[in-house]
Amino acid sequence: MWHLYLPIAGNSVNVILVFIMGGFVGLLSGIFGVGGGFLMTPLLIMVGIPPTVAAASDSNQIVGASTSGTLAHYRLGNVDFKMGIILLVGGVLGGTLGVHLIKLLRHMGNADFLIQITYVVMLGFVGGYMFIESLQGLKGVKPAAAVPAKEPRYSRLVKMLPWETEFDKSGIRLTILIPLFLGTFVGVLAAIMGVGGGFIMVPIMVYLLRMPMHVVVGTSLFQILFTCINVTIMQANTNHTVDFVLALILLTGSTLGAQFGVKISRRLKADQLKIILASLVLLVMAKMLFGLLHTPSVLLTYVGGH
Amino acid sequence: MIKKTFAILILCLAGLGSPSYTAYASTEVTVTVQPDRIQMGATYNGERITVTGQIPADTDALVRVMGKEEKYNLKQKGRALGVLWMNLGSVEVSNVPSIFLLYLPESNQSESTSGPEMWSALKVGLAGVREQADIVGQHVDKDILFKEFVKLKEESGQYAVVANGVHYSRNDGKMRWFSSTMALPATLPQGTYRVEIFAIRKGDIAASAARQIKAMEVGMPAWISALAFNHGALYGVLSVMMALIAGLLTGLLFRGEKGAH
Repeated sequence: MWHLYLPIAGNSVNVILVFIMGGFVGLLSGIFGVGGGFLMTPLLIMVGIPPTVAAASDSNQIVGASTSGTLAHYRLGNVDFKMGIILLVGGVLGGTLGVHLIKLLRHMGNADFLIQITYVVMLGFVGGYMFIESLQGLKGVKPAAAVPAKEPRYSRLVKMLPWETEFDKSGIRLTILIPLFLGTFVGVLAAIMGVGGGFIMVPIMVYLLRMPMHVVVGTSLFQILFTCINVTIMQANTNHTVDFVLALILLTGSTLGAQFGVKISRRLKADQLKIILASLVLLVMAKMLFGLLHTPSVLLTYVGGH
Repeated sequence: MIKKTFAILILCLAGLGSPSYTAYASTEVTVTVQPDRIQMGATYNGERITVTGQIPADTDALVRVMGKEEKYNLKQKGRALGVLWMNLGSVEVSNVPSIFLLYLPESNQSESTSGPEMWSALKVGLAGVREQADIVGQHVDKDILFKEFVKLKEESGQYAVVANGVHYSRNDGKMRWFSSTMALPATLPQGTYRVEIFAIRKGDIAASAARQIKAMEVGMPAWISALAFNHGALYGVLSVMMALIAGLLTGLLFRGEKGAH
């Protein structure tokens, strides 16, 4: 009852359960501007989807959720297309670079170890910093206090660079080299870690590009949309791992979830949004750390996944 | 669902090379499998097959379903720095069946069943699979790797050894009637499977019989598989377009509520 057979995944799933999973992850996506792959892929593996199919079908699903989310944020004036496109160009460059880098790392041996430790440390650092900073913001302490001495030097450096331009939606004036470089950096990380990169991109836009939080969420979703279109087509063409039926059930839930997420996002203050996202980042880090410390029930896994 | 009753096929393995197979008349085991065609449509969620037949009155029946031999590339988890569990190497397991289901007879029905040790000695169980398997990996003992592989397959229902899985209904002193309802998993790959019945007498295979069943995708799953595997790029573009349309439609549906903010 309520089961549907998924030919690419080679398993059947409960439609209601997958729909609810999609709705929940879409909600997070709409609120925070993240793709939600960090949560969706393990959930799909738990219901019996092979890791490679889970990751690829999730990309397909994110296309739907981020379209829905981007549209809703666009109506609210929260999407900086100019910034998004520059970050995206950097992301594509970084992604290509990252794919080669991962091959090199694997060749050197112990790459997985380095990657996972770096990821946990980075999530801990980003989540912890964001948490403390937004907590101070909520308590009424000036946010600038969290980054006191660094700001003038960083600003001076940024102003020395050429190709300065106006980003109207974000209300900032900046050289295009900075978002291009940061986009490339996130692209490299995303390719190496095998994740979408939303978790790193959002804090980078907030703290290094100094964009307003609500514009960050909308712009991040816009960028994720294109990244996932690219991933979906590539995975479908080369690895045949996109299960469209699975993606369709997920995105029915996630596109709805994303709309409600945007509504919630709109009602929250920037610091409230940041502190919830920081908690989520820390939770993901704790989950990864638990996975590293907890003795697995089976010592073998199928190849693929996040 | 096509249901079909089959004529009796008898396969006697006595004298075919295995020293543990004692010579008995080939007509001693009869078997019927229903259904013999597994149609994996949109609502497929595993399937039950019923295996019925007759064995000599003084024997016990073992029923086994096996898929064709496959090769699996896996990652092996190990401890790094003594505390952290992560993927530390690759393991290749080959010459192992894609599906392995072994149903054991009701317990205490006959003195010829003397516990799991006997089944393992017969080589029809997982011990036989282990013997044939080629395992290439580092760090850990191959028997441990095989046990972990079995655990991985058991999680998806592709491997199972089921106690009390074969039941008896009649015994006229000459023949014994058995039946077994076997659960094929939702993760069943498409292909041909061999259903085998072994009649066991005093720890030896007295006679055996085999039938074949076929599992294949039909309807929507078959159509989607064909598109995904034969026209990958087109399938990818269509998947993206459907997702975009779904996202846009949802966005439009919520359009009227913008004023609420």
